[in-house]
Amino acid sequence: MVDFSRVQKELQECNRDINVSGISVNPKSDNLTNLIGTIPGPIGTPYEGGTFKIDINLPDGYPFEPPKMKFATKVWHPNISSQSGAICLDILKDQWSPALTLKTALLSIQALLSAPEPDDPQDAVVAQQYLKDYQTFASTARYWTESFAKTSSLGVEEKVQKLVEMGFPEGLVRSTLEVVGGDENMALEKLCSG
Amino acid sequence: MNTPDNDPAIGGGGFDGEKAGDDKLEEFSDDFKCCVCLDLIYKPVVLACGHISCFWCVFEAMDTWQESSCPVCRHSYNHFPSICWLLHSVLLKLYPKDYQRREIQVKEDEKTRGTFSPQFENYLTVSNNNKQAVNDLLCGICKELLYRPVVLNCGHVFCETCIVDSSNKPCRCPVCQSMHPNGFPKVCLVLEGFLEQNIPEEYSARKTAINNLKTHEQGSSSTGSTQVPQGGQCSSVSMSDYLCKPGLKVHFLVGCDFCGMYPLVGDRYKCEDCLEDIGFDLCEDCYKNSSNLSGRFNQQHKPDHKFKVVEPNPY
Repeated sequence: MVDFSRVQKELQECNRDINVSGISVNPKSDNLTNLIGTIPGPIGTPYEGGTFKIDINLPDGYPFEPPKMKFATKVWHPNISSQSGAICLDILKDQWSPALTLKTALLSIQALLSAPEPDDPQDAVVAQQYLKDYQTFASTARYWTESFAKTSSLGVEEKVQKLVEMGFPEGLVRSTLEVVGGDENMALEKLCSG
Repeated sequence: MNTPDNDPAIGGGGFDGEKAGDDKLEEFSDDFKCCVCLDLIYKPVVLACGHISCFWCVFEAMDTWQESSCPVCRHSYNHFPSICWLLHSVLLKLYPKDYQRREIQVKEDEKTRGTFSPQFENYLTVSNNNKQAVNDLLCGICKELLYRPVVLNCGHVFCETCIVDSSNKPCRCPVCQSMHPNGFPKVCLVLEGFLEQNIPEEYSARKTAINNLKTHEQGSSSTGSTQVPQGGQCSSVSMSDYLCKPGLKVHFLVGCDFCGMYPLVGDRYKCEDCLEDIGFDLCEDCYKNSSNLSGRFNQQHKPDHKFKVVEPNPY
């Protein structure tokens, strides 16, 4: 059973200094086991200027088991799968400690963006490119940040219209957009998965 | 034989019967915030590295299959320490309302769990008023105010210097004679900080006295001052060595109720008369050496209970 009183405290604490850290965690649904975290791309890296969304799933044993985290925003990084968003990070696996929190885990992920570990890759293609042709790696990573991690210039109404045109009912589109915090790609994913 | 459900739980310090009022709770210091549940520490357990957590938080955080490590510093240990009743009374006096809230909350959890934490041992007399009294903060050896306090596996608290000075083998508690298996204990910095802040005059007087003594000893003896033993000196065989040995009996999911070893390694003595779900088990050393045995989970174990040796469950 997830310790929800602790999760509540974590959310309060994390969102209190959101202006300093830029890191936020919000529930995706009412039950607090599915959450969405956001981290700003670190300055001075190809991820600068992007806002990255992390899909968080709390297992029953949380906080004695690590939270399941993966990137919901597509990202080009040796330790993050460019396909699935899976993250290769020790503290999310065997090095987890119950003294860590969702916020500290997200901070570690942010640090991973600054300091890739190509020798322990999650995405072999990206890691190879990072080691052999850093320039191409950096420009691809920057392009992906531009394309996927920047807040869409579309207004809410335009997003609604776009999704309605795809054949989804308007009410559902609006509520879904609200749940995912206005991200049209995530809303589409959610709508498709039913 | 009482089943846990019949146990009215005498409580941590006489708050029973009173309900937590709507009064504003005290703002407790981050020092006393459990790193696991992020709430006020309830029934504090101090690990060999000096870090504190709640009884149930440590229990839950321990590794079932191998050595456990401190949630804060990853210092490894393989014995579940007993509650530090001295710190328990410190917290009780410091944050009476919040501690009462925690007590009610944990009691509810324990009812759901069907297993109970130990109840307050009355070896400390908690004064009725909520003032921190030096008398409640004494070292078990020198009977003076604790200076650089260390907490042993059994939960008893001593000055670091007293434990070093009393003998060259700091493995056994001078008060209750239980083994302290997790290496030489580190100073519990949270308790030290509390002493410095709350009884500053007495604490600095103790500091001066002990430093004077040290300088005096250094002057008179050519061998130099007392040295804090290194971590490995009194630790038992490391659990990872144990677990690698072929043919060794490891009882996963079972712990020794006296020394707290978890998982229990070697011969397991299981009480046949304790009816609690969690059972009552001892390791070989504790079965052979200890006379005054009480359970870690408030089991109603009696000296006339019979034991049998149990083989490990296959996994």
